[in-house]
Amino acid sequence: MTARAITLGGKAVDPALEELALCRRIVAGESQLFARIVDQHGGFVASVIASRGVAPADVEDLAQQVFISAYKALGGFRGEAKLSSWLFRIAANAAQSHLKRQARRPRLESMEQAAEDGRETADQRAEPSGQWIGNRALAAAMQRLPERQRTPLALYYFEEMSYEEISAAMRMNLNTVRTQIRRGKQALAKHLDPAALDI
Amino acid sequence: MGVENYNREELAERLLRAERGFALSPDFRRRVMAQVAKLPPPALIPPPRRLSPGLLCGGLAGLLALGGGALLLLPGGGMLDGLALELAARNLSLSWGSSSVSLDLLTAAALGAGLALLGGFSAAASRLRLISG
Repeated sequence: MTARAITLGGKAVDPALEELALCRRIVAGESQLFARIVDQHGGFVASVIASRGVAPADVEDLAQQVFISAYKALGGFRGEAKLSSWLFRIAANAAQSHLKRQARRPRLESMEQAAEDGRETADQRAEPSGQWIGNRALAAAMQRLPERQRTPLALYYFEEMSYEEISAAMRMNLNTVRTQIRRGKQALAKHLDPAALDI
Repeated sequence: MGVENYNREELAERLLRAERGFALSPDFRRRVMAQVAKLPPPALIPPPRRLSPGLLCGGLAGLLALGGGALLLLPGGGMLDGLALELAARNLSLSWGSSSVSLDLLTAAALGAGLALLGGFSAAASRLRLISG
């Protein structure tokens, strides 16, 4: 079935209403429309997860899990918050749980043993957090920022979201978003290591 | 190119603007939709079951009763011989050897209600934090 345009009496509708209408159609059984949500919010979800410190090698799998969880719980989405805000909560919680699991996971094999066998350990496979950013100096400086600055900065610059969109998604006051981005940028400038700059 | 020519904040801004978001693989949507295709419509998926505080307390009480019964039935069940339980009009006294605990029943009821409320709030809060529409 092809996706129909969502209109109300032939007029363009409020994006929030459109979002809710889309979700209701998916809940009712038009599950193929979920692809629109994946397309629209995929980058955002991945950026939220990566900005929380999840290793780049794990980000895509976790983003996939976030979308499956969101699909299963979509019946509970009542449009009281924006869809991005709802997804943000799921993504942030998934990242937090993942990091807790990683921290608890016992080191079952020693690096020496793995080296003898000619295998890579998980530590060697996973790039250090922050390597999802191309510029190494920027990545290192970003990692030194607190999460409350890192996530808004990533969403503003990498996902090109507006202050208003970030405020709605993170349920953060608009002025706080502005302040955190400004302070984050100042802190970033301080942490940038000129020796590591590849410009 | 020397970095000393740049204002550090301008440089940070320039570097940030040069980056793009996390690059998802081209088949990311296909992989998500392949999993979605295996699932029923969300309307038919029951909400995740959570252990209610009442059920939790019931389970705990059942486990205690089972444990107590097992201790009585075991050959070494004599360890309970020294346990004296006394239920007065408004007091519950429990003594074992030289140790004894006495609890006012009203206090016990208030404590139980408080714990149940706390459990209920925690369960509701964790659910709201995970998925809030």
